[in-house]
Amino acid sequence: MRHIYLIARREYLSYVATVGFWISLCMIPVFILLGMALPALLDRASPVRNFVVIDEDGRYAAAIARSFADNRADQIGDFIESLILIEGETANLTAAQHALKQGKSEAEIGDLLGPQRKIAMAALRSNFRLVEAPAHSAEGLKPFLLAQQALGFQIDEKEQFLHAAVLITSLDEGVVEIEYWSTNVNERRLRRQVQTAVREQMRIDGFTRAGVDFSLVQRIRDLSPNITSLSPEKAADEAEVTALDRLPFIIAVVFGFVLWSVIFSVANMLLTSVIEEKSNKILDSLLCAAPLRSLLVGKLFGVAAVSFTLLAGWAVAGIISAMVASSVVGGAGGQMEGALALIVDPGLLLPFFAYFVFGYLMFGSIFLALGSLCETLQEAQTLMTPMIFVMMVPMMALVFAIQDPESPILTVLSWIPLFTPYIMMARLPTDPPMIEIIGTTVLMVVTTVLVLWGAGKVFQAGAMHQAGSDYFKKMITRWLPNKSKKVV
Amino acid sequence: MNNSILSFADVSKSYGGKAAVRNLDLAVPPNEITGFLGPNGAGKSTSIRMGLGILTPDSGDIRLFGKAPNYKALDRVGFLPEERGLYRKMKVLAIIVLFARLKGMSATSAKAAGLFLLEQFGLGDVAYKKVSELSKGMAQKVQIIAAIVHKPEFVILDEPFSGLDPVNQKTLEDLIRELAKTGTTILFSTHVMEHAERLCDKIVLLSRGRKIFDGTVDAALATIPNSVILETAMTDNPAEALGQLASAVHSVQPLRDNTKRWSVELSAKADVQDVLRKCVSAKLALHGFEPARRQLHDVFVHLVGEDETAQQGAN
Repeated sequence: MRHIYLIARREYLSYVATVGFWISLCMIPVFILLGMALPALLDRASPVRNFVVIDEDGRYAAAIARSFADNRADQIGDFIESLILIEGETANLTAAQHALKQGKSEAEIGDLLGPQRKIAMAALRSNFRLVEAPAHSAEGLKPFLLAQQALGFQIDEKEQFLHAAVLITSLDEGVVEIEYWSTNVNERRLRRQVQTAVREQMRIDGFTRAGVDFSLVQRIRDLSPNITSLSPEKAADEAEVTALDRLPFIIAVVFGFVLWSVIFSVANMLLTSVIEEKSNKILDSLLCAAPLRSLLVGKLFGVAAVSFTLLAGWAVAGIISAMVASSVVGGAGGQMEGALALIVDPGLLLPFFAYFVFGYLMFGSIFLALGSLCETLQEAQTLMTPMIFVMMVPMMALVFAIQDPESPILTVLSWIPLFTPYIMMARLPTDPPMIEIIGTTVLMVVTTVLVLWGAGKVFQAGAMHQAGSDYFKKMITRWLPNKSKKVV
Repeated sequence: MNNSILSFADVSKSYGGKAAVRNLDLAVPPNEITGFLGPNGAGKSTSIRMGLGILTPDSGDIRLFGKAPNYKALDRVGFLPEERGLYRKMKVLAIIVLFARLKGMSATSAKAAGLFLLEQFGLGDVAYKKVSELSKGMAQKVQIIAAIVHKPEFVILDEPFSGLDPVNQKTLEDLIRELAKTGTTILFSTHVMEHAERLCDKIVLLSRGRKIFDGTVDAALATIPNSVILETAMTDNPAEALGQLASAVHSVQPLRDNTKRWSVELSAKADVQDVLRKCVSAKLALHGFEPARRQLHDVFVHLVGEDETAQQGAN
């Protein structure tokens, strides 16, 4: 035990006692958050662009203005929806949603949401602003479009220029021509929205000319059944499926991804650690001081402790983020608490740790054994390539599990012991048959034992007998019948 | 044999059908310095690794402190392997403490002993530096300290002088003598005979996996003939004068085409004084008479050469 403890301790400290480890620990959640926030950040980073519409008729300009107002209403609607997802359906949120449907002003909706959320809502913005035209011809607008002349107003003490000018000409027979003037040829969103809004108005006009009441057409087009998801597993009066009911599936898949990424990261640590020992010729000194088995087990324990530190770090970061998010959106009640309760639910957490242990032991010992056969990372890459392909399968399956965790493909993959930890983790909330849970677990445990035994043998050959990266080739050659061996 | 610290009885080991060690009998007596000599590939490191239980012999019996090699016994052994290295990112004292603790020392004693030895080796100021910041010679000293920090009863040094400059070689020689004085048994392998000749009480010479000599340095030196360098006034061939000592003289050869200097090779039991007396009585005009000192290097070349010739003959 002394040897195992000391080897594990050294292994653990060699990672955890470095600044790089803590930086990477913090960087991973930061990168995930950045990845999630990047589209919004990029959106916010670009300025609000001014555009004008010159429309002699006037109806198309009104249609475009309406289209932007509808977009704004959708934006606020999505914001209220996200608040409901996090906090649950509170009276204020329901009232705000109702007010939005009634076409109440932003100020009124903001009052219903409360001061903090009103500020958050105001921060949401459109990428384009329809402004008064400073001139009414393409020629007259050119200096504004070329930024040679500013528009006659400032926002945040900044001069405003014209991004685009839309000139609409109505011809006979309902034909409409639009000239879209802009120096920015890559920006297509405004052009698309203008086209859509004008097309909608042209259709209204077309129906009207044909003597059809367009509001009737609209009503018919908007016909849609109200659909309610219900679950027979819930009490009759609460049978409706809510976002909270879907959370366990989402969390289980997230757990599967976390398992995969942690195991893959720490297994790589084991690989590089043993390669370092072999290339630095430390193994002989260690083998005179500690039994081979202690080296193997100590390394596995040490790096397992590193991964628990990683997981604990991420858990703390997650809880802090959840608390901050909860306070920002006002109130920690509702679904946020529900999500946290699910994450710490032993029904998911205990399998998570059990699957982690077996997944880690299988992949960790394989990587450790492969590392013992190599003196450089280049050598290791040759042996690692098949393993990386194997590791990619559960990763792809987890992406699939987001859409359909009950897919038969996932059921089949669950029975492959190397994939069991990740796939079964994602499938657990779907209540797979007990026979599958027990069967896949037994197979996984047996495989883990076999893999550990085999990895021990390979590690022994690599560490004690200086076997190299051609170890498997030699083994295969030895097993082949003599007659097939090449005689030199 | 019975009180040997390490003993081999008829031990053999082969890799992929190629014999690395053949029927080796070996005894490392307590409180002595034993040199384990042989050319590259003679089987020294394989034998040492078997002695430590790192490798298992194909046949034969190995005893370390009277028992089959085990980790309890290894706590009493300090080992500096031929292929050595350190964790480059670890601090010097931390790595010494790690190895000491693996050998059963407490953290406090290990730290104190490590600091003491670092000071003794002139490395006190690098105790808290990373191994990657050390020169090769310094790193090698740290490895030696890591091997002996737990005050082992038996120290095995596999090619300890390789990679060290002459000054550090001298420091290591002094350390080995110091350890021996305190009653530590030492086994070290080398193919540099000067170190073995200066340090060893006993040598074991291996060639092609077989033991070809086992005994004291004097006994080893006695296996090769004495020789004398004669310098004559004229181009007289002393062979004629020495002809009467046929049983004592093996050969008389001129040195490097200089017909005034002659190398006279004597048989193992010949007395140099007899040769001098004979030269005088034969009235050889001697300008010089230099009995050549026998060296372990010559023993090595002689015995290994003989063995290789015998092997070639057998093949």
